[in-house]
Amino acid sequence: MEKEYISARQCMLLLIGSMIGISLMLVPSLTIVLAKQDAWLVPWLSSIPGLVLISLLISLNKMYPGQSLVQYSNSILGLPGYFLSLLMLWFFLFLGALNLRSIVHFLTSIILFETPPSILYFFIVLLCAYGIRLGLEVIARAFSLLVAFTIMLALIIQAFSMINADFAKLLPILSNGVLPVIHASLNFTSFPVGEALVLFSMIIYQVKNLRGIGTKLSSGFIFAIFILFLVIERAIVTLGPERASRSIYTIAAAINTVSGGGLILPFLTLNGFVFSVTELILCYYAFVTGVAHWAKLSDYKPLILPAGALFMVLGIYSFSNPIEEATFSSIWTVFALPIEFGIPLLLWVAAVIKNRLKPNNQL
Amino acid sequence: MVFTLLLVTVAFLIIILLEVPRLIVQKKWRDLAAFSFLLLPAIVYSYGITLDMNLPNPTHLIIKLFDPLALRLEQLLGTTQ
Repeated sequence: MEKEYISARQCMLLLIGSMIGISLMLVPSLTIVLAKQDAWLVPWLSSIPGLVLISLLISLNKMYPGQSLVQYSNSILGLPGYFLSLLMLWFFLFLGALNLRSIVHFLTSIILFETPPSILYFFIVLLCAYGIRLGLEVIARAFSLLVAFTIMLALIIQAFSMINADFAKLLPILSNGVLPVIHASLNFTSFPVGEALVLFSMIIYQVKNLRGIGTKLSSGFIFAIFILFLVIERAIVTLGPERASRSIYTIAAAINTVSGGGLILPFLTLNGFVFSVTELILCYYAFVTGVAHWAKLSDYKPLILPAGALFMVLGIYSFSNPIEEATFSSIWTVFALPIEFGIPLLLWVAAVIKNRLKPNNQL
Repeated sequence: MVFTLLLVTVAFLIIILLEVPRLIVQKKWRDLAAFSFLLLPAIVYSYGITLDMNLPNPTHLIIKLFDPLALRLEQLLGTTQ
């Protein structure tokens, strides 16, 4: 497979984009329903495991330079590593399908009410397939422009929708105890934090100059956490915890409370679309390259179209009704956390032990 | 329904025509195997969805496996709704 290189700065912008992702739309109500007015604490609590995961991935990458997670899990564990990476590939596929489904759901319920969902599925997948065919370098360059631009838009939207802010809604702090906040943080750690970071196990090895990658990725991560914090806090102070927890797309509801908010809605959709497509395209890329690495193929490009069809089919078929989709968020935490954090941790521990046992260890 | 079936068939034919001849000419049998391994479930599920058949759903399996654990977590943290 030909080598493609991206810079550390591009990797950071991709991380910001995929961290914010579709969670920009979904996370406020999911956290507020559990933690009520203390939900703004949740992103900061979840940043700790996120930073740990970043350091794990970078350390693994230093031990096995130029290899993706699928490749080094095989070289660390041998045959069991094959099964672990298969699990990881399934996770990428499922994650991408769920992401695709959420994007389409968002589009059909906010702007394109009468478009058949399958048309949206088809064109979004086609767009991503074209991007991936052009390669990671092109994706990274395109999204470093787009993400930088949409972050500015996000801050403008933030400024506009804070007109009705009432900061008294943040009080009382921790009135329900710490446990709901911890539960919400667990959900938050699995939904935007872990799933976005674990995708980078398939990206980091393509960064050209690894010096300073740790600081760059961590600062990008903290920035994304800050944006999500702003979104959650905005939902609490403009709508109040009760109303915010009841609406699905809190961010759109918060804008609709402002007079003339309809003018900002197109910007908001653009914003959400760019961020969520960043995450989808990375899932897609991670899955396709992962399968190519797993089966030791010479090129990943023949797999793009069938993988796209698979994403589309799984996205359409994964849930039969919206209730199922809504209750799945609590199951997602227990399903995804062991994969997102467990597999890298297991591989790291095994790699460290393996390196210690070697007579001439050069770690 | 007939129209959808036609569209699905055309879409898969296009995918196959775009990739398979090139792979056969270059004798990349491994790539071809991986390609078919990904395409086959996609074809089965596409026709299944169009014909409204009852195919095994991976999400239901995950829900069945992890629901008790999720409930346990909610009880542990006292956030049962």
